[in-house]
Amino acid sequence: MRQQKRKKAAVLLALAVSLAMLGACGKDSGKSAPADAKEAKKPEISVSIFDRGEVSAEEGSYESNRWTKWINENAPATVKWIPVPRNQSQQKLNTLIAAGEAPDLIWEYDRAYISTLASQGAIQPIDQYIDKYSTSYKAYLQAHPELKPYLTINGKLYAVASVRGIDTIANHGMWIRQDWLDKLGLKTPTTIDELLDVARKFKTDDPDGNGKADTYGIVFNANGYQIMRSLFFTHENQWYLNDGKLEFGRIADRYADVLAFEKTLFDEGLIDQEYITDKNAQRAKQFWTTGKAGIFLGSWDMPNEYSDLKKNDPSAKPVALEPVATPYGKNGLYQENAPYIYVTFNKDMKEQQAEAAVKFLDWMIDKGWQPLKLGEENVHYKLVNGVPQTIDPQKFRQEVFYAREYAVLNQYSPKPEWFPIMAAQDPISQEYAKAKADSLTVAMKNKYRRDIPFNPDLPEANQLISAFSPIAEQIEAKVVTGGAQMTPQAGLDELRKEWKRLGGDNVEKLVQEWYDQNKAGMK
Amino acid sequence: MKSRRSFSAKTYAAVNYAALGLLSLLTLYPFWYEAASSFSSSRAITSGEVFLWPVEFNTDAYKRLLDDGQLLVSAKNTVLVTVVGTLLNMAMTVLAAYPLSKKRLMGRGGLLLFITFTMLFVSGMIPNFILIKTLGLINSYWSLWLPALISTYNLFVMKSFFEGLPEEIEESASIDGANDLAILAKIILPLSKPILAALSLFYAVGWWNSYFQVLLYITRSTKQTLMVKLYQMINQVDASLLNSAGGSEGASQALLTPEAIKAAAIVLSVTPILCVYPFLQRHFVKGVLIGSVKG
Amino acid sequence: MNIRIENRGVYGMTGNVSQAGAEAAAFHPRAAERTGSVFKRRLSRDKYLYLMLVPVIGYYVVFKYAPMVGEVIAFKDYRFVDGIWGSKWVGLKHFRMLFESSDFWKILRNTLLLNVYNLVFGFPVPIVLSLMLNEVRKEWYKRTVQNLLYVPHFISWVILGGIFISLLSPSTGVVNWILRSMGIDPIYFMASTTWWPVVYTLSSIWREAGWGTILYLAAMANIDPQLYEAAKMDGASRLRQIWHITLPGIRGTMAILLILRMGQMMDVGLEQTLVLQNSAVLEVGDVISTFVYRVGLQNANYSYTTALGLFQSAIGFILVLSVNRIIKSLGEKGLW
Repeated sequence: MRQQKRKKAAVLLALAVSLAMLGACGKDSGKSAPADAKEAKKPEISVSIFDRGEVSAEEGSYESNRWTKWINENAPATVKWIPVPRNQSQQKLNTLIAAGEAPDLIWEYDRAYISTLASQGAIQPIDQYIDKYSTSYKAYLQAHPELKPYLTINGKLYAVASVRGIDTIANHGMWIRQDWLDKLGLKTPTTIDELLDVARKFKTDDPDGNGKADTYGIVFNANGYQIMRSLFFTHENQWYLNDGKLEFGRIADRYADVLAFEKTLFDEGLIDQEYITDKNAQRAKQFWTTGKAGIFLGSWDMPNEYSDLKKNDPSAKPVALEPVATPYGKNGLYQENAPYIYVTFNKDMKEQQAEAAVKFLDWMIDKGWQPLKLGEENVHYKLVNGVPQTIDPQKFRQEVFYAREYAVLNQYSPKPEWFPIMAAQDPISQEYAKAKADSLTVAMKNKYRRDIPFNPDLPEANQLISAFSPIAEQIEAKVVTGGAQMTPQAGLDELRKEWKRLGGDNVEKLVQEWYDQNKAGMK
Repeated sequence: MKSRRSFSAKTYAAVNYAALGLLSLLTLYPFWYEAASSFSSSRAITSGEVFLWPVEFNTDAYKRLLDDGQLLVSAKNTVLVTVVGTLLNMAMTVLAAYPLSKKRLMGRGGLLLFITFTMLFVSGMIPNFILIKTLGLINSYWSLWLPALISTYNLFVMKSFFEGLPEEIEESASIDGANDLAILAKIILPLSKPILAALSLFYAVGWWNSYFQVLLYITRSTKQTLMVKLYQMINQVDASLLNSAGGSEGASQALLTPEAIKAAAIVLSVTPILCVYPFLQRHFVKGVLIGSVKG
Repeated sequence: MNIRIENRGVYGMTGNVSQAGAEAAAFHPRAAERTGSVFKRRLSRDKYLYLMLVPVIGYYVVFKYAPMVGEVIAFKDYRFVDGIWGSKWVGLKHFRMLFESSDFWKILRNTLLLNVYNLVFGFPVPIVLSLMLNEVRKEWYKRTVQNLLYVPHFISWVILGGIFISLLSPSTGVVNWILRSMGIDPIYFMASTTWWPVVYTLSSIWREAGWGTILYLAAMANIDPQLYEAAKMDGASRLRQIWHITLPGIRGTMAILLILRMGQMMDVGLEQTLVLQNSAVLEVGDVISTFVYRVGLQNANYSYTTALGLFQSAIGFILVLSVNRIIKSLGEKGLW
């Protein structure tokens, strides 16, 4: 019987616990540890920040570390940072917004996301705040009018942003084995036909000298597709102007040339026959680093691939390759747009908060950004001929690198000639720094064609494109890898047919209207 | 008494052993490969040189990972979340499965329909977030434990198991005057060790691997769990490849984790949980029922 | 007690015993019923059972049903600024858009097909493996093998997928190496619309079969060894013992797992599909989850994805209820 009583007690306990759980007030309601300044005088704003898992335990957390403390001491406002995981940033931000928990300042790199937020009414226009309260940023914006079209949605200013340094404007890049060119007595290709020729010779003329025809002309990572398309002045997700009319890149006439080029590469065995399944570019990287490929279509900055190749073959000489000319001319490779981080204002912000935020942003673009990007002078870096040189890379990595995105507006703009000074002093790093500097120069040499600064902010267009993409991919795969099944022209016809079937005509009409309405603001 | 096994029985057994052995080597391979990679140099991994054994053996990857104090903290957090979570899960699941396994319970059918419905119809991220926020549980581990108190799937498995136990077992106890609580505790549970072990394992693995909920509700980095920390490394977004037409942070902005460290992260994330089942296996012993029925 | 079991015979213990138990209970004085106060009687008799269910029901109401209210956005044009309640009501607009989109039916077909393959080929594998494991006499071998068999369950698809793809590579993969040594031309499995579903199913089996043995082995542990003893004395071979004792012994588990599996027929794992998919096989490889992933990435179109989710859930629910009914009509115990 005693056991029965004990059992009863246990059940009642379980009940009590479950009731407590149901009514539980959590220990925390998400307020960060106020270990930083209790400056009651200064207003407080909340700002989002990407959590990339880079803050070590010794440094603290994304909410509280030496830099957040420094900001709170020196900025005109104290900042509560709301970390958002980089991997699912938009999902998390959306959830916070929907739950009414979004920070005052929400920022992202993706303009399309900002546009969505605007159309969903989650952020507010800020023209009057900048006008009334801003000094430094207002002047900055006047000095950089190229930013305006990007920051404007439906005629109103919705975001602030600073201009990217060229190291983040350049994105795609091509690399070629100079030592192979030298060995085979070839000159650097400058036209598409020369490129094909070089690729063929890389494949058949045994440039690695091992007596086997086991080398590839070209390998690429996910950037490869877009690089090939940009050579022909097109892109699978961009609209181009044709006599004042907007046409979608993937169904333009010249897209057939892209398909023909890709097909030639595949049919002649100049690229990996299994590129379709090499989604994380594992094979491409392997071929490149083991010296089995002559050209890599990737990014302008690829330190790992460079150093691994050098470790395997110290005599290799990868250099940056300038984009080649096609019958349409010479296009630059994909470059990012001018604005770096788009900072937007939550719709719930009141005038007072907005004023504090504007003053904070003014401070940031003025002087706040520098230590956040470079660290403390003579602690983390020293100036060598005016170039900030990292004193101890380990220390920098541990103490400064994670803070770079706190500087949502900044004026950081490294020049290529800085790289050797900024890099580690060992031979391979120095060699790469020079190659990297060269690569950046090459990447910025030619302008990337962009007829309109950003894609139309139209849900119908976005919906069509996301429905069209998988179908287009299938058709392209059939053209390129399907042998005689489908010619490039037949492929383009098929693409156009599918585009129409999914409602392309209507979308084109809407896009044209959107363009005609907005084109004045895009200058 | 040793039974004499005929030749065919012996061959049958040998084939069985061999087949199982082969299969287990196949299933072991991915993990083995990651373990070998974790002790290799990143260059060797990228160059495709690692197959079965480490190439350029080094423990740098593990040193790098374990150097970060955050890793140990997050490991401790994960253990806490897993242990408490599993205990809560098992308690609630038993409390749910036992009554529902009794045919005599009035309203049983309705309740089961009520529960089954929630197994298929799942609510979205936003309403759940609002609920957790309203309860004030953001950044508390209760935001993880409470919404996941019972897995309906596991509940049905346990219920089905209880239903499979012979009713005579309870009869004698209830004749003696024991109530349902006592029967549950003294008779049913001791007999259910295999299923309790299995479901504890299921729940524990679920907690160990949970990632999305933690990402959503826990923002304080000191409270992060191991999986979140490691997953960010393993499944890193290669920013230069993000390339939405809208813009990204650019090529050099996100340092990609070296291959060897990724491999070490995978090994670290899997090894602890692999040790749980062997620990529980002694409960999967045959003939648990014998003792009770014979009485 | 003993007499009862012996009378019942050696085989098929699980199902028949509880039936007998029910008969026994019917004669028990406590179960006597009287019209009128049936309700009160049952309540007081089973009071502890109801007590146990209180926190359970509370849990379901608060954490399962309450948030479900948010599903209503499937019938609205959800905008953040309007919130769940303020958003405009649009009725079945999203569902109509879904069904009218021609590619939706292809995606639905792919999802169902892959699940059917997985069901037909994948469902028996853990059972077979468990039977094989059950036959192993040496305890240490059995334990080791079982532990090794379920290791892939813990490895994420990003890793497993990469390994699978390289194993199947026509130029460097092991499988094609074996084919070549047998004189067969290499096959590019991953890029073939005929082979891709096979690869997909096999990879699922590779990952989950070992894990699936856990429940079956737990069920087998509960079969009375006396049944095996008796059968051996009757001269039954090992195979006959499996057929007449082990399999019926786990029949209940199989039935339950089958019904529960039906609830997942509209789901195909996102990570697995994304990793194994490529542009050559989208015709067969594009499924609901990848569709949602694509659509969801643009526009934060929560109403649309919620509508699709409701559709999936409804189908799954119908499947579960139907299969449950079928299983019960076959004489097996269903979900309830």
